Amino acid sequence: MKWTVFLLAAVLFVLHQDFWNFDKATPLAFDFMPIGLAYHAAYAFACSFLMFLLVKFAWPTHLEKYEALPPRPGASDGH
Amino acid sequence: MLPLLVTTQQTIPLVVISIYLAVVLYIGIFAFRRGKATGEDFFMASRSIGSIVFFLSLFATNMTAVAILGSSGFAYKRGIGVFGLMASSSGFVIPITLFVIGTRLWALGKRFGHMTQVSYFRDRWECSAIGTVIFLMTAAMLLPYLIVSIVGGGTILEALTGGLVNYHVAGAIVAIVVMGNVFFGGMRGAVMVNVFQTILFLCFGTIAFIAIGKNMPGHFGGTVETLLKTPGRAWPLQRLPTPGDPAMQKMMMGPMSYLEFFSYCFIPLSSIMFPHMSIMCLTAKKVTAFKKTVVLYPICIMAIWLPSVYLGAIANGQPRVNAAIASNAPDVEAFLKYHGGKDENGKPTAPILANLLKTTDTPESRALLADVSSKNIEPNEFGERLFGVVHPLGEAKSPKYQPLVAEVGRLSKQAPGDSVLLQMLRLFVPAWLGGLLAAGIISAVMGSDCHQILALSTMFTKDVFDFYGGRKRYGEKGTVFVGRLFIVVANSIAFAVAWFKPNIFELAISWAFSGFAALAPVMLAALFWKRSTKWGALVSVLFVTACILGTGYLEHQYRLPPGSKPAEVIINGTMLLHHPFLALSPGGGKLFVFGFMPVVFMVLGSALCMFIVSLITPPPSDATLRKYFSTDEDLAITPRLAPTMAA
Repeated sequence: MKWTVFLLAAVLFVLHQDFWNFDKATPLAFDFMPIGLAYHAAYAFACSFLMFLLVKFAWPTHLEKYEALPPRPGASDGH
Repeated sequence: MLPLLVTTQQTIPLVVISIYLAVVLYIGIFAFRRGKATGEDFFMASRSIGSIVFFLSLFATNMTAVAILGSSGFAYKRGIGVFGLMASSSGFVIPITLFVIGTRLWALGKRFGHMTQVSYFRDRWECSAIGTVIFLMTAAMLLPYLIVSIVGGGTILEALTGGLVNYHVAGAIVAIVVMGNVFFGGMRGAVMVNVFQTILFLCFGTIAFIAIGKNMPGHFGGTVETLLKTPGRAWPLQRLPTPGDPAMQKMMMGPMSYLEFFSYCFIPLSSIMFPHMSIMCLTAKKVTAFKKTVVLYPICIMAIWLPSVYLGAIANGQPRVNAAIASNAPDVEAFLKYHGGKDENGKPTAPILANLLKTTDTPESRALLADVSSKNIEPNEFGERLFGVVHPLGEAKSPKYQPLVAEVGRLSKQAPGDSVLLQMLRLFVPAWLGGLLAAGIISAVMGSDCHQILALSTMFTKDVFDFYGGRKRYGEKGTVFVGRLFIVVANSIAFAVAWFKPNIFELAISWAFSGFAALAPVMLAALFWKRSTKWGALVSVLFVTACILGTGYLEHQYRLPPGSKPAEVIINGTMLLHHPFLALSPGGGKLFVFGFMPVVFMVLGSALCMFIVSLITPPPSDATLRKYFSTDEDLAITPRLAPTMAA
């Protein structure tokens, strides 16, 4: 599933280049929004859904182990 | 005694903004009371930021005046494509960088106590001087932001109060409030301000957007319909002119090529590399705080950018807005300054407009010309009266209408477009609501400013003061003191430079975006590629620096003189796929390389430098590689970690 989500991410990146909308303003979405703008508004929702899938299926769970580390009062910069 | 004429339009924003500024200062003092006197607490809020606050704050850190005023100004000149160009690409790239880079950076910060990118690089690649080079480069790219934030804050505050507070006083107020907040509150104060700012802006922004749509003539639908029906005028609603529409080809000043659109996808890589963003990533209490941020980020970025870009684009269909913006064009400013006569060089001021107003010969145009020649007229008043001349001609379907409209359109594109949103607020929204949104806009400027100044202070204190022995000598309290002192000094210097309202720093920021984007491969290599070396990082950084300086030189050297007719400048005409090797765009004088923006080659070149140089230079020691690339089992909190933590 993880790799399917990665593939989906690649597809979504390609879909950002909506060259077919570049030279037209119509049809208008909701009677006031040009198609090029409406497409990218919908694209933002698609991105959010992709991020949801990434979080669900490709989350770096091993990093959560660090959450248990206690705070380091007076910690410097690691040297 | 001079009469002081203060209007409701001026006082309401001033009162609202004053309340807002007082709240910001109080937040700083409130955070100070809750804070501890340790560097970890002052610079990192003790890495204790919860998920909702983390999301709101991280989002606000990235939501600058550029996102609100700049995007609408950019859309006013280039149309709705600006949203796809800058916002939806960010909605894709920024959450992915947070997901891939941000989470791992958080984990390493939590484990080893890093507070800055440079402290991580130094430890990861066993280097000190190269870390200093990276510090100098990132600090040099961040410093212009401080200056531009004060310039922007001062300019906006002056505009919003209708000149009641002049630029210098306004700039000083912004600088002092930001400094006060960060000085007292540190990271906790900056985070609280950001949360306050995001909520304020989202609420008032939505109300203002609806109010503008309701009050503007024709509303949203009617304005778009007018643009679509008028020959050539629909250009703001698309990215390229419609084939076979010469009127639109003539009117569209900055068509958006496929290659430019693609190139912009590389710019959001800069986000995570901005020091204030990466430092913000280290403040989360848990890595799971990133989950909400990553999922909600694209929608929130849309919520801010979509209304801004849409309003900017359709403002072209509102003659009153166009007249207001045209009145701020350099030609019109000179026309008003020299009372319609010749300038100091003997050149006539705004000759086309003056001639058109003369030939229009209506009572309104005659009165306007007479007043311009006999008294001082403010640009806003001139804009209103210019609209008063043009509007009746349109109503009467006079043949004189179109040439005057075309000239107003031309002048409006000469003017700084960033004022478009403010003009729409002034013209279409009641003063009290305009005041509320004004506070939201100021807060957007100041919220990110707080983080930028704190990031610079953190970098200086940790990467220079601590690294070269300051902490050992002066202890934890000394470190915090130096951090606070740096905030005062850096802010004072930024204010002193901002006093002269320099333009160059805006250019520097546009190069900084490319520069930080091109550093993303360095960060990726540090986090995920064991074989990467300090020498690879050094060569990448030098390559990026050379590219920024080269771009800056070419854009400065070959740009057209101010007031010239927009035209492409070909620096080197060697062609590839119908694009010249080096050219400056007709709209903004930006450099393009074979039709691509330089950022594409900078990112790829930086990655290549990192890859090749790392392969031919020795890697860090096994101990360091084990430290940073241990297996999942080692990542768990095992006794093996204890000595590291105790170190």
